[in-house]
Amino acid sequence: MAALSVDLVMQLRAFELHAALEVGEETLALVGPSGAGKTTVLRCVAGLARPDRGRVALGGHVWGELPRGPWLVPERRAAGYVFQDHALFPHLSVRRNVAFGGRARVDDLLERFGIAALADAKPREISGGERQRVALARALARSPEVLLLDEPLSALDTDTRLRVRGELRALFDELRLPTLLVTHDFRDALALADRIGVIVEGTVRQVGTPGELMAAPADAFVATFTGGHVAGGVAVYPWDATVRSGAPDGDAGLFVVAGPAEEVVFDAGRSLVRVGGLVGEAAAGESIARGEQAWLTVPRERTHPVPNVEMVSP
Amino acid sequence: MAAAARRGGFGLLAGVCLLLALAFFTIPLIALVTEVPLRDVPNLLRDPMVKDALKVTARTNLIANLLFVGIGTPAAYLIATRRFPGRALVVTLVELPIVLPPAVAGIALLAAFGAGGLLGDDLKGRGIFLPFTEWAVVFAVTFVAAPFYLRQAIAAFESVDRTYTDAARTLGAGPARTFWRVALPLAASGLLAGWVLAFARGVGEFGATIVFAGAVQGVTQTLTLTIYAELDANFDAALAIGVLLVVLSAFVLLASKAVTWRR
Repeated sequence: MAALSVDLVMQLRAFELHAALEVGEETLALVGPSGAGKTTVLRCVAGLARPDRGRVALGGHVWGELPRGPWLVPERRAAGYVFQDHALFPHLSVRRNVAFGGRARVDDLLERFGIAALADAKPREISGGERQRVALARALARSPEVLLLDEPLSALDTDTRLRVRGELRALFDELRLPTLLVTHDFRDALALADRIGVIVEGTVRQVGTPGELMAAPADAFVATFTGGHVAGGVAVYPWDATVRSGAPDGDAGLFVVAGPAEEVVFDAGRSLVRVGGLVGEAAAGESIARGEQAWLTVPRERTHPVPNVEMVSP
Repeated sequence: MAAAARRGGFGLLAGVCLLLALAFFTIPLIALVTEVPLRDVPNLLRDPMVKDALKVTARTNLIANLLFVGIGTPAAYLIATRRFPGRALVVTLVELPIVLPPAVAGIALLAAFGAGGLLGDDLKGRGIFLPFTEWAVVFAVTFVAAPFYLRQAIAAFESVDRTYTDAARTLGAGPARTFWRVALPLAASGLLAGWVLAFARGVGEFGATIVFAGAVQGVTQTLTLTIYAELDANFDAALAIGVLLVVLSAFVLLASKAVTWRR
């Protein structure tokens, strides 16, 4: 299986987009706040947008190389694109939507995605989760060699979202196609992707497995985005930190922050306490009220020094 | 209390305005069907002059409608989906005939295609002479009616969400298949609405036709020109044509509304 390689430079309204990515037989999630340029990357790969400079290739097959070279039109790129709102043709039945991509495997795909019973329904007559499956079946009807998904879960309600997330993950594992998806939700990226790229204002800040990102966040943004908290040049993840109402004994291996509990949140049976801008879990048996003096401790090897870059809230 | 009275007073005023408007539009239509005995209408329409006019109108409008739908639809799609320098100028040129007085359209066509006109002599050299022929009627109708279709067609194609045409392209459809299978069906009801307007305007064409094509019975004399010609000679026949055109217009309007509702 050929790998997708993407290298793009494009002037957008507020910033310049720089994206260089390699996607093998895996799922890469591009995560970042809205307006970071994520969708533009997908559109360039699909041939729907044209960068100022750059190269898109699948293995040895060059889909585009600018400024000197070809830039193939979308219909000549073997990319399956699942649009954010699914973009099912409203005037065509489910069957004809899928057949638009290719007639050969329509029945198999309707069967595979459990939408055979809906074959004659119009898109407006079916649910959000069903529309998502039709969109996937349609994208795959073309036998694509790359799969592109734009916010695949954002059009779904909370209940459907969790189920579809599982279905998608199973599908990616089954297809083993180079898959590039974009989302603004880090938890969706965690659930769906093998590797995650964090993109902010057009720049890919860090690419790695979820474990790599959390073990060594490249900057404060990545640390915050992956669920950590940053104070005084150090990023700490809540599950590494413990908060107590008493001072710890002077262990040199511990990083300690003392101060009043700024905020106490109960979440899934734990109580998360913010002290000095960092958040940790209250130690077993401890009950800490807001405003009480508290000590947050983290093993030193679990703290992550991060360069002091400007903060962008996710 | 005073405010409520003022509001009530305004409602009353608006209601009176609506009644006035309705009366103004309906009284002439009622007069049209009461001044001529309805059972005489079929006989009056059998008059040779009226039959000729009917044929001329049907033939010329059919050709004109085929022309402006056939050429206008792809042209409108291009204008609606591309951004190019001079686009605003193109749109203005396409819409200009809507506000142009029809008589001016007629004289302009004469200046272009008439004897001694801009292109008239070249065409004559090749044995083509347009003024006062059936093709002159086709030209006049097309010139005056097509912009109504074009303007609506541009709006209809602009309202098709770009995501659908993008999706078609990523599914392997080239520009032509995207147009036929996606853009055209999605714009269909808007195109139909535009065509109804243009069709009605074309059948009602008078000013440009009489200037550029004249009123030659059996060749260029359309139904509306016959109404004018029969005013003194046979007022009842003129009324009968009026009834026919009202029925035709109402039928087209209702049929298009029915199609739009069904979708």
